[in-house]
Amino acid sequence: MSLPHRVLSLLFVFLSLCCLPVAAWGAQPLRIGYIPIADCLQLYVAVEQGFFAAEGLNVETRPMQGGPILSLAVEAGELNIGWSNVISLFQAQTQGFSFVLLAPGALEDDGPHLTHSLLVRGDSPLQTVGDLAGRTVAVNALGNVNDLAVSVLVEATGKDPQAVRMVEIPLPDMEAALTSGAVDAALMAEPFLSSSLARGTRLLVAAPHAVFGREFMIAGWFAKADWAAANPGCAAAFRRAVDKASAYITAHPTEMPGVLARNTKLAPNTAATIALPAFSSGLDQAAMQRVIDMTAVNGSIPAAFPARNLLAPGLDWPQR
Amino acid sequence: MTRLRPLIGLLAAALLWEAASRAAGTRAMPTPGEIASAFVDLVLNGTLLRALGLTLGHTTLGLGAAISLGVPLGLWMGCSRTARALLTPTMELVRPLPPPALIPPAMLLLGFGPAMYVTVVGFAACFPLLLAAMDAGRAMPAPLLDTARSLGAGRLRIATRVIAPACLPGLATGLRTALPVALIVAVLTEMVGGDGAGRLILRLQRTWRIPEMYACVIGLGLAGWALAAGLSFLERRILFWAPAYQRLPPQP
Amino acid sequence: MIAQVGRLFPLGLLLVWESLCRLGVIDARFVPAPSAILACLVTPGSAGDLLDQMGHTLLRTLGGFVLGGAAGLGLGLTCGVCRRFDKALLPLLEILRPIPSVAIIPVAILFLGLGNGMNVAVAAFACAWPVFVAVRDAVRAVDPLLCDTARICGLTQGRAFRLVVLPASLPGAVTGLHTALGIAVAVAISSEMVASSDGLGHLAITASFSHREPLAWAAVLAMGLAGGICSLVFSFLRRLVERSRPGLLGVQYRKGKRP
Repeated sequence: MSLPHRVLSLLFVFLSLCCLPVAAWGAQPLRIGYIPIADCLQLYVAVEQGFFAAEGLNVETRPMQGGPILSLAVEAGELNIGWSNVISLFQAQTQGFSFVLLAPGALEDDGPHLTHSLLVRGDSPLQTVGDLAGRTVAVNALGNVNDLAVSVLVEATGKDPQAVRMVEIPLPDMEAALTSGAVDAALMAEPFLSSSLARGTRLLVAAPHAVFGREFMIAGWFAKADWAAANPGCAAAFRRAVDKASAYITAHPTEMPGVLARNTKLAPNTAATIALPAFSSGLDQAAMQRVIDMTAVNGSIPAAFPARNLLAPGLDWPQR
Repeated sequence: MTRLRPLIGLLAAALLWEAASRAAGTRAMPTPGEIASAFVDLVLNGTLLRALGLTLGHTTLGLGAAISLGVPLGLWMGCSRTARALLTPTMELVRPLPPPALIPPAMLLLGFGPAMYVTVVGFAACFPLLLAAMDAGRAMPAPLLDTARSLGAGRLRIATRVIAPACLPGLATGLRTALPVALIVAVLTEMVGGDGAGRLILRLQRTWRIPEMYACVIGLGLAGWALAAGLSFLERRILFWAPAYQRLPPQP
Repeated sequence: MIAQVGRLFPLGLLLVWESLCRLGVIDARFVPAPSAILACLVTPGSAGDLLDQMGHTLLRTLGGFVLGGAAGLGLGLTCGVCRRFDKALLPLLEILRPIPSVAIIPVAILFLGLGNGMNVAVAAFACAWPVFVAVRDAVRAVDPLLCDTARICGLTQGRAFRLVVLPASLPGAVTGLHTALGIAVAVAISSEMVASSDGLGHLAITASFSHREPLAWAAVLAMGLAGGICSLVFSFLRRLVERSRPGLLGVQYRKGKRP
């Protein structure tokens, strides 16, 4: 064989080795992916209070930087259970990915549990959502719940949502983008919301997620439908642990800043001042169906589907 | 038969992807067929071409900035030992900064306009050019310079008539490396800046439209190929005198 | 003397940055002053953390660079020497070249999971290209005179390749490797920002999400340092080779002066 042929065959062997999927090594702990933010409080509490251990679960938590990669890791089998905002789950559902919810996640309302607001600069000329037409709005991920909320709000004023230019900017950079004039409005989440308001930005819409209902379940814990079907005991145990954590959070609100400080890199005094979501073991299916229908009307998903399809079949879903 | 040869590599890759897609067994890795049909859809409704047009515009802006800064600087550093000693530490510290770390400050200081693209894309693309120019300057055959000097050529004439042409093949290689870098960084900047192919890819990925996303990525690859082919064409015209383009068999 | 000034130049830039922050030209809430960043570096917890993460990043960079460099070398030599492979592979490679690492990361995760292998693969993919281009061009630019001489002297293809083409294309290959090193660092860090739970990229993202801007910027400074360290090692090795085998890497001596 001439030299080039030798080189080429070695190359192909090398390349094909790179394509071999990693072999499974046998019994492994339950891998749960989360984003180290306040919305994943149930996980921190469940780990700290030993709820997982009490259910016989050996859990390995894995912090991820963003929802899309987290969901991809669940799809790839790298993680067994993940955390995601519900709109992304709706979109995955309609694109043929089969995820199911295992447990309800963070609940937001327009009162004590307000964690997202639409802000503008202190001296901005914008007064209403309708003024956003032709302007730039920062959201933390394109096509997600925040993007959708702004679209629905703009549409409600009669303006065309396409006239609003959405840009994806990471949450920590949003305030700077707002004050420097790069964007005209930003849909911020805690912990950046409180600090930004304290530094002179102004509310344009205090509760943008109110378009989805007075109370809105913004996220949930999910897994692949195949995995949930193959591991019903595990899924049920996970759900029980998370429900216990939800109850604990509701019963011990003063302990939560400390939990946050220990599990995220948030400083304790910041953790004490921000608004936290609510958590419950029940889920309002009718409300979720309304949001699915709204998403379909808005065009974010091609067609609506029954909310039931998204719920893991083997688990209880008491009405909230 | 030789005309079809370029297709062999593409066909092999398509087959490899099909096998990989089946091995992965998930919709997160679509088959070439799905990607191809998504590609056709995106081209037909104009989305892909519009997005690629914007991206090519941003790439050109950044590349222009990179060439005007990187090439003279690199040539200077290559030919002058003092320049090299002065600037190399800074260059080596600044070079590995990844674009995702640079985009936020650029966005804050320059807003979302062309200035941001010129800065970020230009910054990233100027290093391959700078390095190529520097090494071309260092590798300049001494006899050429000595001859020019002994024939009485002034510094400017030496720079334009001796140094520049001798370095052109090396610069061409640098440009060939810098081109996809500029394209990639333009796409990355667009993901934050909000238009062009970068935004399209990001949006498709965020909304789980995976076949369309890969179709866009392939579109990006095709655009890069077109640019590279254009560059090769220009090179062959301008650098016909370089050994790489001699028609006589240069192969051993 | 000049070399000392060169090494102090980055420090000079830092001083300018510090004064701009003090004067209020740069908003210190969004772009912290170097003093704040240094204060953060000096606290034992952060310094150890940064060094740890730098270690992870450097390891991934090394893996990606070695793998990518080898792949680029192999592909470049093959395409440079054999026109048939060149024609068959070039369109495919030119289409793959402009693909950003963000598009490669999902594929890498699907096949290699979330560990170091994924970062190394993505970094290798990105940094193979400069090496490929440089090596291919270098092989094709080998002086035809040399090749003709080799043929006339009766060298076989293999020997001609080893004794003529390889050494003649070494300078170009080294330039490509130098470029690839910086790209390997940048892409390794980018992939950490997106999908890893350690490393400088992860640290920068996590710090900014926790409102700890000085730590995030310290991580960015550390990124530059990591790349600087890699380059130093590379330059040192290059100078070693140049000293022991002058002219091998293409640098010409002029009138007895060392380059």
